[in-house]
Amino acid sequence: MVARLQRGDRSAVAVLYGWYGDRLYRQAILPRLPVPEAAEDVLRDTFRTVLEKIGTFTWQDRSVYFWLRRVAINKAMDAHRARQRDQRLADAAEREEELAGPARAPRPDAGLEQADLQRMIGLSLDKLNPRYAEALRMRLLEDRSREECAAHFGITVNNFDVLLHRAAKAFRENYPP
Amino acid sequence: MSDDAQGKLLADWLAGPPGAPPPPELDPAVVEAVLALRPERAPALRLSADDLLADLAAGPLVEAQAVPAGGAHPELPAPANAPRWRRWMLGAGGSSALLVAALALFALRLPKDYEPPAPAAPSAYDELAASGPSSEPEPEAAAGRAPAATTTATPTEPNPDPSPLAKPTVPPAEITLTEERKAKREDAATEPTPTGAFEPSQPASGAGGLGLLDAQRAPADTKPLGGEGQRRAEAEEEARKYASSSSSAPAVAVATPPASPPVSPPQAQSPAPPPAPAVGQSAAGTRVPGTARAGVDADMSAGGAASDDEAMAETVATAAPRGPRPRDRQILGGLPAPKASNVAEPVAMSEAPAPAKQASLEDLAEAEADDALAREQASPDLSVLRARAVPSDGDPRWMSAPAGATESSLRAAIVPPASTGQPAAVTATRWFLDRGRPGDAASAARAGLALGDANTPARAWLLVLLGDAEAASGRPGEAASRYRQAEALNASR
Repeated sequence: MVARLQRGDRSAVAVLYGWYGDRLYRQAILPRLPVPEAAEDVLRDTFRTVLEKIGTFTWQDRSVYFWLRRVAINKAMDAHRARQRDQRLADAAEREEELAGPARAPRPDAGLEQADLQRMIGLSLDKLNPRYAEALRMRLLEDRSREECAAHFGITVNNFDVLLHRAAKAFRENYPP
Repeated sequence: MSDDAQGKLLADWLAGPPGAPPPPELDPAVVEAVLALRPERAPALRLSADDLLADLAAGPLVEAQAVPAGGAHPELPAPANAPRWRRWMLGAGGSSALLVAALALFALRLPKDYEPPAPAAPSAYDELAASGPSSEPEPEAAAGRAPAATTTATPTEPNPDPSPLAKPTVPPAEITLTEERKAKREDAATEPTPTGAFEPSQPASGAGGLGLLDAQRAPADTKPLGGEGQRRAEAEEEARKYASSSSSAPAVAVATPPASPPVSPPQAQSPAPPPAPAVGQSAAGTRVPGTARAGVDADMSAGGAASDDEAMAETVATAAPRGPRPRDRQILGGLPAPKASNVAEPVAMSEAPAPAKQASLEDLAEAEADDALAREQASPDLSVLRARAVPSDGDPRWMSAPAGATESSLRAAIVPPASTGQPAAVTATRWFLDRGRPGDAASAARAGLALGDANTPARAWLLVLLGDAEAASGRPGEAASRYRQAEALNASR
């Protein structure tokens, strides 16, 4: 694939985008920049950068996906900074990225994003009121029904909706950690 | 809105299918939190591979991009670059560029003690030629980077560097002229070289144009010129000399596009085409503003484009719409600001054909704008194109949505795999078109196209319907392009 791209085969772009576009969007960019329009801009910018510099890519026994992912994360961070003007969050995210260095992945193609995101989400949930964190875990991560969640908390479904709303707002204030 | 109402909105949204848009009244922070935890709830991507290709301005993949005859110049930065440029300057790239620029400035101070080589010694220009053609475009080299000889404007070499970085010139107030240089200029102007070509053995900072660094250094034997009027007169006199020398000696293609190897002295001495007007002159040879600084430009290019750092090239290319930097503005003084197209020269040097040098970059930009306008106004016969684009092997069931289908359910069906997602996208696109919503139709079609690039009837139909949406949105050119893509797919399927 990379060789085709380096030869200027434009049809390979569609293949590359089909392989990794949605994955980057949902697993690398949106969790760090959960604004769909901005995330699409970042994705577009990521592919533009990578495709323009594909000639410099050298094979290092790792999929080109990891290059794409690194570029996407960097650009998402930049966009995040521009949007939030919050250096603290960006620095924390970068520290988290450093902790998640490539050596921590046992296999480069196995669940890197999942582990990565789970840790980020876990860090943010840990900062929340435990009740909020539990509500988010049950409803959004475990995908349990409203009724089940409400029963767990011993409240009405409507009250659980309010609880979840407040929990989501609180989560956003702490995410990325 | 109260938390109760917000909670209800959130619950309703979460009860909907993935990809359904959130209620507009819902707190954005809540939406973002949900998307961070459940990114699959985000709307489908609206980007297609074609969009990505359309963004490219450099690299191997851009070379295959069709350039309309006599029209567009891909080196001109797209407006979409602007936000990226801002982000880039705010991020690490900006500091990198500043660092590179500082290093370049430092390096350029070294020739202060430069000893001009003996005429028989190989010049930096020879070294450049001997290094052979580069595998990658090196616009900076053409813009006057390392080889000093290429940036030295001798009287027989009328401003070889049309680099936009060279265009910001020293205002007359900063021009000083050494007696030695003046003498050399006059000699050279009256005595053109036997070959009428570039003299590669010219010293790097010798008889060339007046550089900013020279002006700043002002050695003891330099004589600051008198008042403003006198300085202008001197500068114009120099311009006339350059003009006369350019008419007697052809312009040397120092700034040859990298598609051809670096110019070697034998090439420079080969019979040359009719003299190309130097930058700063119109095609007719009449003087235009800026000509008076023609001699200054080459040395300026050495100070302005001395970095071979890739980021610097990107900086220059993406900085085009922003006009001159504050320092450039200061240097430019009262000169009119260069047009945006001027500043994208490093890319132009790598891709533009050689004849582009014969017209000013302003002309090229205007020509491109005219061509773009003409292309917009040229309304292709869409009905014919569409008739040829419609695939004969589609499934008619795709064209009608099931009873009770809603916008959200149709959108939610546009998911991998492409074998089912693209037909669903066809249905959704048609549904939106039937309701007079071409924007949503185009979005659905693009989402479907992004699912896969296999040459299937569904993909061809998506292109046709996307063309319909573009046409309905008043973009016949885009529509025609989509129809042609569909036709090509049909022909090769």
